[in-house]
Amino acid sequence: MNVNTENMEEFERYFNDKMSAMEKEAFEAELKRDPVLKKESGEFEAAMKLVKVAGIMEEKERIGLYRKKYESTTKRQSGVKWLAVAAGIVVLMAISYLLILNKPAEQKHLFASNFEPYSTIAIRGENGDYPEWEAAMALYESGDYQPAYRAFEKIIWTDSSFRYPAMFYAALSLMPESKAGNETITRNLNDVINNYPVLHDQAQWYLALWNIKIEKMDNAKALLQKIASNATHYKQEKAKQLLNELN
Amino acid sequence: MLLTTGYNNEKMVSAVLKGGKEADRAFRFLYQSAMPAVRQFVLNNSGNEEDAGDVFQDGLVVFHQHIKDNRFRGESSFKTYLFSICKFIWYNKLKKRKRMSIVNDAEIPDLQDDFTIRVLDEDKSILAQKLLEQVGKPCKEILIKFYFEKVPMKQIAIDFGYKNEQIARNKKFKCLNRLKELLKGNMEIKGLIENIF
Repeated sequence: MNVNTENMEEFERYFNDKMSAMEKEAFEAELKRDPVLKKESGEFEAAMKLVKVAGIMEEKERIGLYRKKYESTTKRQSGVKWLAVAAGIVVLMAISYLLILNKPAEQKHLFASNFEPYSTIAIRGENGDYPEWEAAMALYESGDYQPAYRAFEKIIWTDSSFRYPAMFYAALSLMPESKAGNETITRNLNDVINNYPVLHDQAQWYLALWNIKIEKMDNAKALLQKIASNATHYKQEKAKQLLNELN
Repeated sequence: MLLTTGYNNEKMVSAVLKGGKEADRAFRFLYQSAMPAVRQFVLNNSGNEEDAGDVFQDGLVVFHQHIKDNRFRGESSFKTYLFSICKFIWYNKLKKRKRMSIVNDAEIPDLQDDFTIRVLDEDKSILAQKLLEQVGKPCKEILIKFYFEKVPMKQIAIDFGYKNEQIARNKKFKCLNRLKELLKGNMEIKGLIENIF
C-alpha cells in the first residue's frame, strides 16, 4: 500500500482549490511531466468524489428515519381516524334512526373530502417566464393561501393577460378558509366559466364544491348535473358520485 | 412544545446547522408542516403515496445541503423553498418516467446542475455507499466528516480521540488509500463517478 502523505497533501490542496495561482500552475506542469503522479492524482480525486457521493446517500438514509417515523405516525392517526369514523357512523345511524332518517345529511364533509388544491403542469409551463405568477403559484402550492390570494389579486388588477387564471387561483386560495357570504369566490369562478375556456371545467367543478360548502344545494346540484352529463369533463365520474351522495 | 411552535427562516437554518437534537426537531417539524403540500402536489400530478414520500425525502436532503452550502438565503420562506425543490425533483422523475417534455420552471436557480440532485437521481449511487462501508466504520466516518461534511481536522482529532491533528490527518490518508485500492478494479463505480461529476 502506497501512503505518500506529502503527495496526498498536495492533491488535497489542489482539488480543494487551496493552492495559489502560481502553485497551481507549477503543480499542473508537474502532472503533465510525471505520468505516475498524474495517475495517482486521478485515483485520489476519484476516491474523494466517491466519499462525496456516499455522504449524500448516508444523509438520505438518515432522513429516511424521519420519513419512517412520520409515515408510521400518519398511519396510526389514520387508523384512529377510521375508528373514529366507524364510531361516528354508528352514532349517526342511531341519531338518524331516532329522527326517522329524515334529517338532511351534513354537507360540509362532502366539501372537505372533495376539495383539493388544483395545480397543473400546463399552466405553469405556459407562464414559466413570469416571476410574479411563479411567486403566487409557489405560495399557493405550499399552502400559504392568504399571501397567495393577495398575490393573485394583484395580478388580476395589473395584468389583463393573466386576469382569468389569477381569478381562478385567487378563488381557490380563498376556498379553504372562507365561509358563506364571501361573494368573491362565486364571482371569480363565474367570470372564469363565462370568459376563459382553458379553465372552464375546473372552475365549474370548484364552484360546485363551493356551493356545497356554503350549503346552496340547488346551485351545487345544478352544476354537478352539468358536469355529470358532460362526457369530456375531467370530473364527470366524481360529479356522478357526489350527486348520488347528495340525493 | 417545539413541534407545534413555528420556525422562521433564521431559526430553521440555525437548527439544521447545529445538528443533534435541534436538527432532529427541525426535520420532524418539516415533515409535519411541509410534507402535506408536497404530497398533494405529487398526487395531483400523476404520482402515488410512495412517490410523494421519495420526493420529500430527496427534497430534504437537497434542502439540507443548500443550507450547509449557504445557498438558501431566506429570500422566500423555507417551506416555499423546500416545496420548489420537491417540485423540481418530481418534474424530473416524471420526465424520466413518462418521457414527457415538461417545462421544469424551477424558482431556485441552478437546480438543473445541482450535484446532490444528480447523485440522488442516479440509481447506482447506493454502490458508492456500499463500497465506502468496506473501509470499516471509523475510516468511513473520518472520510465523510472531512470530505463531505467539511469538518476541520482539528475537530475530527478531538471527536475521534487522536492525540493531535497530524495523527488524525495520517489516519485519514490511510483510509483514503484503502478506498483507492478498493476502487481500482471497480469499473462500475468509476463509471458512476464519471456520470455524476
